[in-house]
Amino acid sequence: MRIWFPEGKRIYELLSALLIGSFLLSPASIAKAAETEILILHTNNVTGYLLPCPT
Amino acid sequence: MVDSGDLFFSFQNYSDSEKALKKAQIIGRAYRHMGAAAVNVGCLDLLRGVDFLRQEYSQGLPLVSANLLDPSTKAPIFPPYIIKEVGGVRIAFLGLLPPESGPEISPAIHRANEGKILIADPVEAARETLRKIQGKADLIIILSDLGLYKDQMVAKEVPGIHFILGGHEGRFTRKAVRAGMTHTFQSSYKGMYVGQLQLTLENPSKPFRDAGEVQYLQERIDGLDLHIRGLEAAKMRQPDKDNPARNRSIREITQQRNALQEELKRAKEAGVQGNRFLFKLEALEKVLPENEEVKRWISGAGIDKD
Repeated sequence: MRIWFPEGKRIYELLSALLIGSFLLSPASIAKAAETEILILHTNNVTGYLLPCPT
Repeated sequence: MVDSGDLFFSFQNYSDSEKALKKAQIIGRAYRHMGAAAVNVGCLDLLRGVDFLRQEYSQGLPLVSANLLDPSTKAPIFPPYIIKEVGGVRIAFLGLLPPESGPEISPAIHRANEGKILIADPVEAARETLRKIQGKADLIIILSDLGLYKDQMVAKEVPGIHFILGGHEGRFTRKAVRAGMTHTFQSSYKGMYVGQLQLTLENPSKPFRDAGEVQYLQERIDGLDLHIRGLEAAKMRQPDKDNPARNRSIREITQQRNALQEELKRAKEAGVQGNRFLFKLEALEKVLPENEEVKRWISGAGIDKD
């Protein structure tokens, strides 16, 4: 399990990768006639954080 | 794509002004360029003063906060919520941040924002904002920098919230934390992972089920089975030695395992019909490649080693 990443590099990898992802991943499509599928990508504490721990 | 806050600054680097500011500006630019749907104001985002955030907002970053107020007017500084329509479903994203962030961070925030901000009670702000949204949105998602404990308080006291995409501690959430009808997640920290919340909707007015429940329960049962087998093997190796603590452990773990097996049976019987969600945390490098344009910005700012 990873417990440490160089902070700055990770942030930039995240930014540049998410940018591509935002074009690749369609936000919505009709799965079946009566269903709608939505994909939401989420980030938090990209730069600042207080007390990381598993849930 | 949404963010729950503490995007720009950390408590460790905010005073290292020039470098921290350059990094924060590139982060803001990249999120704008990605077309982020909503970005919540986190407490640490206020460490350089609210004017930095006003500037980002004026450049098009969709900041939201329902409880960050102008002290003179008591009105929100940024929109309390944003509604996005996706596939015919209207999703409201609300922002919340904590009024208190600890003995070191809170004074730093106050110093940087003297007389410029007022952070209102998040429960009241959420309640008031949901009243305003009523009838305008099908799904309510809170982007929260309150932390998991306070998120659950909000979820219990303010009915009608479908999901809380949280932060503050930067937890690695393997499974949704549920309070009432509200499911809460966090997506780790430092950009190591991206949270993917996949929603399948049949009728937005109905509650959501966790489509990952069966897999999660099976993984827990498998883990307990492994543990029990290990203890049983140890017992077999020492057939003449009585070990009450080990026997008690085997009994307790077996009980726990059987309870989970019942839960799994119920989850399987319930099936995967109706509104459902699947939340996954994916390691960034396994999912998405880097973007050359953003790399050029970073390199152009001379901060690629930071």
